[in-house]
Amino acid sequence: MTPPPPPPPNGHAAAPPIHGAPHVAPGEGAPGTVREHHEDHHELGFLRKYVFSVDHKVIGIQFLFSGLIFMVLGGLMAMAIRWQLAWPWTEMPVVGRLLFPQTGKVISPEFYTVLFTMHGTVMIFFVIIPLLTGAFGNYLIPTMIGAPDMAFPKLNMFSYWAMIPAFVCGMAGFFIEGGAAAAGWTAYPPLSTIESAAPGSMSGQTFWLLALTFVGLSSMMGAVNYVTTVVKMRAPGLTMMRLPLTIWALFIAALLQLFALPVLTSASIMQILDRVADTGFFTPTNLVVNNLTPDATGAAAGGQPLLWQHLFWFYSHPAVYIMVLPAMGFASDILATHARKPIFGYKPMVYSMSAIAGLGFIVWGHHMFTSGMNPKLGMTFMVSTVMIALPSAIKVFNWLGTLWGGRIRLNSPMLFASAFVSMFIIGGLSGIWMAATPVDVYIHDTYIVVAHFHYVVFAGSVFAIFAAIYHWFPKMFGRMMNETLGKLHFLGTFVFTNLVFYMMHQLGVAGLMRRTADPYAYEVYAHLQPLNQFISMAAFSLFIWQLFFVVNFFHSLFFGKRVGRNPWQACSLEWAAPSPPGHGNFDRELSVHRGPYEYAAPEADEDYQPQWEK
Amino acid sequence: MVASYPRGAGSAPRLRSLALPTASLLALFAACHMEAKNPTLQFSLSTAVGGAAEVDEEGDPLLPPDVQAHIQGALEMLCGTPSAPQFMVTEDWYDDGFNPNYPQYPADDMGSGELSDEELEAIAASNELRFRLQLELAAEGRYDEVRIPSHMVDLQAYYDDLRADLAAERAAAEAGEGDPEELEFLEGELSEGAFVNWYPTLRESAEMYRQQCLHCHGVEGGGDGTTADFLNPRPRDYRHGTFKFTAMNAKARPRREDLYRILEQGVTGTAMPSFRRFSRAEVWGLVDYVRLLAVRGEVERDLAYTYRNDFEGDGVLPLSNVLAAYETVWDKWMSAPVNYLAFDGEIPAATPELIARGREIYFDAQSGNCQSCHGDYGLGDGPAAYELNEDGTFKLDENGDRISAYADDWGHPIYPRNIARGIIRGGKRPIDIYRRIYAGINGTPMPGIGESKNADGDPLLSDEDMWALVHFTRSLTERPEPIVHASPDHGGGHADDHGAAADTHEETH
Amino acid sequence: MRLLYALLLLLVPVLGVYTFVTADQHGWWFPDNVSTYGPSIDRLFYLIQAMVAITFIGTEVLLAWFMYKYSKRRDDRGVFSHGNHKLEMVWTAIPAVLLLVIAFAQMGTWAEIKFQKGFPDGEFSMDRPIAEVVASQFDWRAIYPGEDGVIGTMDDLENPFEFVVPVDEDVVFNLRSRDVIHAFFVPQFRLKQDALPGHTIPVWFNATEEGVYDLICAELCGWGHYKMAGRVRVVSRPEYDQFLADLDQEWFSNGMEEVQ
Repeated sequence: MTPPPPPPPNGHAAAPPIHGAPHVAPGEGAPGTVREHHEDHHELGFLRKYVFSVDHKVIGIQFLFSGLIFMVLGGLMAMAIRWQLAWPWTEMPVVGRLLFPQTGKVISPEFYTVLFTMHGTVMIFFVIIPLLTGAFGNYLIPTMIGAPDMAFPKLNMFSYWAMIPAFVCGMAGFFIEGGAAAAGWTAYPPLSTIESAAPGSMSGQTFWLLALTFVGLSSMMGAVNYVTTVVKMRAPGLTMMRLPLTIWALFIAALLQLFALPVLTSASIMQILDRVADTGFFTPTNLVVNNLTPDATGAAAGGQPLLWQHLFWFYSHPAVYIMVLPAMGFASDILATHARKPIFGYKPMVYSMSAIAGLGFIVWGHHMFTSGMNPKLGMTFMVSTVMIALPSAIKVFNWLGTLWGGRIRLNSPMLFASAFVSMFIIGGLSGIWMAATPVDVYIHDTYIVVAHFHYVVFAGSVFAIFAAIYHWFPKMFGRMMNETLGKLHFLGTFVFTNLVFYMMHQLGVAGLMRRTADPYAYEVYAHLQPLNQFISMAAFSLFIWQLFFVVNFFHSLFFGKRVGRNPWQACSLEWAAPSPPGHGNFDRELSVHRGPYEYAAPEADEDYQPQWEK
Repeated sequence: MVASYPRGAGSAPRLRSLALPTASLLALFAACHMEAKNPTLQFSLSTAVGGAAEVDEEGDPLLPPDVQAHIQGALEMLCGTPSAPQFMVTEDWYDDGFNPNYPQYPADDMGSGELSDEELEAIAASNELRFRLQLELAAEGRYDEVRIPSHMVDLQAYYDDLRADLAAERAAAEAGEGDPEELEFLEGELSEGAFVNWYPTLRESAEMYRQQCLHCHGVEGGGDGTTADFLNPRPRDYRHGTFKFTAMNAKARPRREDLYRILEQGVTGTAMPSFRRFSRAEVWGLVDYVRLLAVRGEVERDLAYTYRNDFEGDGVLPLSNVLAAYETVWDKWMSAPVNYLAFDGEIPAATPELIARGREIYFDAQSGNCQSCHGDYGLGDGPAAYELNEDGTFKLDENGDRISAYADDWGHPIYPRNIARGIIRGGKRPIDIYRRIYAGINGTPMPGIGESKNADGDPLLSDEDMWALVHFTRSLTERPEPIVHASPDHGGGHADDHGAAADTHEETH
Repeated sequence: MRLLYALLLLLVPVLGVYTFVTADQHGWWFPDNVSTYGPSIDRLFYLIQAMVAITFIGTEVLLAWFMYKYSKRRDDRGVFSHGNHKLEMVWTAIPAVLLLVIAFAQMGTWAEIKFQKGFPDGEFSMDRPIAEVVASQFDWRAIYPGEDGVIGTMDDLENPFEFVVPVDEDVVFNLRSRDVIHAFFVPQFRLKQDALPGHTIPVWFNATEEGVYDLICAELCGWGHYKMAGRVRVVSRPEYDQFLADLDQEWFSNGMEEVQ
């Protein structure tokens, strides 16, 4: 073993960050070898540095902040939904007077439809996907593969700035006549295409579709960048099979986006055309909606509402994997690092992620078992859907194998990552019921489905995002987050998350439908109100509990303890850079000598052998 | 080697960073103990009759503020507020033992006697279904676990009282001084009577109206709730006392049964759903409250009209005028059954000959003349209903739509029904269509021709002619062909061809 | 501390088992089943439940145990292992077989419910459905064919809100929507089918118990979605015939019965 170059005690002091873009043109020279300073480097102004920056790290942090802000907004909408479900048609405390003066501080039924539509939209398109692929994808891909920046830095900047019109269009709906989109985040036509069908299907729906298109554009630019960067700009010696699983996950998610997003984008453009140019792709013949015929509403006939469902789910099912694969990647890295153990079965992990992605393209029909499509098609989708549980199971077993025999450090990232595994087990297993077609006939669109995807997307992806923030915060900002607050944050979040979402399974088994503003007028649901009130209380607590995170985040941002390059003693390449990395990321030549999880090797001096050390 | 990594960096928790979340959590748990409250609403004056928002050319309100306050006060005296709605009982009514607040009691016993004994039995039976869960619990004596739907505020209060009394009575019984009869009564009420005999008070109905109706029909029943702007047609404005689909001849006020039927059946083709999911008592309660809103609105219009046109003196109208207006409106409502319209005889069968006869009347400009508005194919596109250019073509607005020539009583443009679409709002039964043709539709340009006379003073249409027209109208709603399923095992079914009716209805009928 | 975290992780399976055991007494479980194919759906649910429960409890307990056992502060290093091929093969093969079992176990039920080839062909069939159920914003309407047995003619009988069917008989009805997508859902029948505008979708069920069941719209259909309630009333054959006779009488009434 060659002793490693002594790590500087403090990344800032020992190795001043390199200024000026290293300017690596794609395909120019061996990937990842260009490290010299560029000739004409100069100090950038504030605008170029922090606003219109082409630096992947700044862009990643921009995504991070906008994602967290929208998470608060989406969370507030969820709280309003929970209020309505627990105490329908009663005065909303505190904010009711402000928001609903006309209805006596009560949520109106049409606003309820807006609430759950926009909650889903904001959380999926403005929070989870941008946080996972936008924030961490941007930040981690170059740093973890030892590249100075993305392959196409300007494209990268555009991918963030394409989100701004998306944010604007998405929120514009709240300020126009009819309100924001109200056809559900799935926007099934004809409810969404015919303006008279719902208040939110006036201009609100068009803005919603525009937002979706811009999000698609942004993700597409991001995905092109990620794929190119991973393929072309890896540090020397970093073969594909030495990539950290985070990078594999982000790479596969980017591939998914590349292939699936065009479908959604074209579908949403088709729906925009249906709405503004009367093309009638999705509007069938002879409708009488709100006492108007399609002719009078301006939509030509002859379309097929099922077509939208196929196109939409062809993207939106892979989107579920876009939302969970990076989370799996983060969890793998964090588990291995903090269990001080190599990942158990690296190759099976990679193969199973690829299998999830591949199968993910042929399972979209399981959202449509009751839609009236050919039942034989349903049977086909059922088989592929059942089989997609297999790679997920393999991953879970491998995570358990990773923990086995480790030397686990119980810190905040580890806690969140292990909770991710625990929650993903629930989310994954409950999917098996949904895959079973006859059972799905009963549970389709009930609260089981709500519980299922919240376990995957909230308890799964958001937990992984928290873990990743705790884990990579020192790298991003050069300061540690407060452990006590982090653990407190974990405790409440974990308990309340389970109370909220586990109980939703019970609601679903009892048959409770989602998107119902006032279920208790139905006799079959009347007895479920106490349970819903319990869930709502837990949900409010869950929301408030996030204050621990907010306080911790901002406090640590300014007053956290400064750290060196590798506070976790991790092996992957980002820890070779200063914390935070300067422009160009690395201040020395990198070459990679081993896989990313060489912890606990018995013959080594330390219990970890970084990738960059000989 | 000892792994030395910063465990719990900054491990000494900073008290001030803990303070905010902790305080918030405490506040949260305090908040969780807050009760969800039903909002309190207020009636406001309608703008259409000179409320605050309407002004004259000089920008002054049409009615001075003191007059508005007087109208507001008078209305509150007569009909109460949304949280305490109550009809005022006039002296004459009191002497007669008549009280419109209690339709379930006989008219000489401080009720209005509008519910027959059979209806009261039906209400009890439907209450048993409605309160099935509560009755099950109560039968086992688990009174504390009984949950009462949130709009039944008075029932909740009554039930709570009963429970308190029961507890007191039981304690007394243990002390050996209880009254067994009282105990039996309380237990009977708690486990059955309170539910089976329940009939909503106006307050409970107002609460139910708030939950189920208000967002479309508005606080005052003006058809101006928050959802109303997005509905076509707009929700009914009760304040005119005009209801379209009744079994009444002429422009009479509807009977309670007519309103009940609307609530029970819904108005197909509009956003008005059927409310049969609720018990009979609840629906009757809604009818009561809708009538309260209608009476209030009519009195409001009446008073405003008096102030604007007939009232000469200073100050405010004397109480007697207000009460006169109130009683006039009530007379209209109470006399509704007199105008009930039915066909005393057997409905002739819908033979092809009769339908052909109906078709002749439909097109005959001297008798039916229906096609002038409803069009040659019943598509609601007759020339008389729309504004025309001088060359006889339809005038079009900027969207390319035809412009209606008429407005209904509520001031909205109105279009003749597209009969061929098969959606008949007032009901598709022969007798429903008969009533529409006979008496017209209240508040719309649709005339009643049942009592029209021809030049000789004879009825324009004989009974048979009327039914011929009814049958012809119904035949327009038929589908051209029965549905045939496409190839088996194609779950998508097949495109349905109902709407083709609109275009392919040939003149064979 | 590490015990606390392990217990916390253990809380999940405990919560799962606890809610499962007590679900029935709280009414957090299936509503009664009253259709002929309901039991096979429920059986399938419980089959998956069994497999899932074992996996769920097993993995969660392992996770909690590992988190407890291996988080003890020790000065030595962890097990240096990159995986175990045999183990991987085992835990790939076993779930694969189980999943295939699940996949094949359900095909029969699915075919029974949905395949039109197997639709009942008795008194009510795809060609002569008992009624047409029309959904529109926000209203259910059952249209019975009347005397001529054909829907869409002048002697049709319309019943808003309530769909009345005879008990213990295979019932086929046509599902239609007039405007947007709705869905016909009766929890007790384990039956859900979207009503797709532009399509007429035949649906069948056989209700085994008389009673009144909530009919719920299960697909978002606009602001009044929650209001879109209906009811399926299952009655004996004589009651059903009586209902049709009453409906016929009401439908072709001359209005005189209301005159006192």
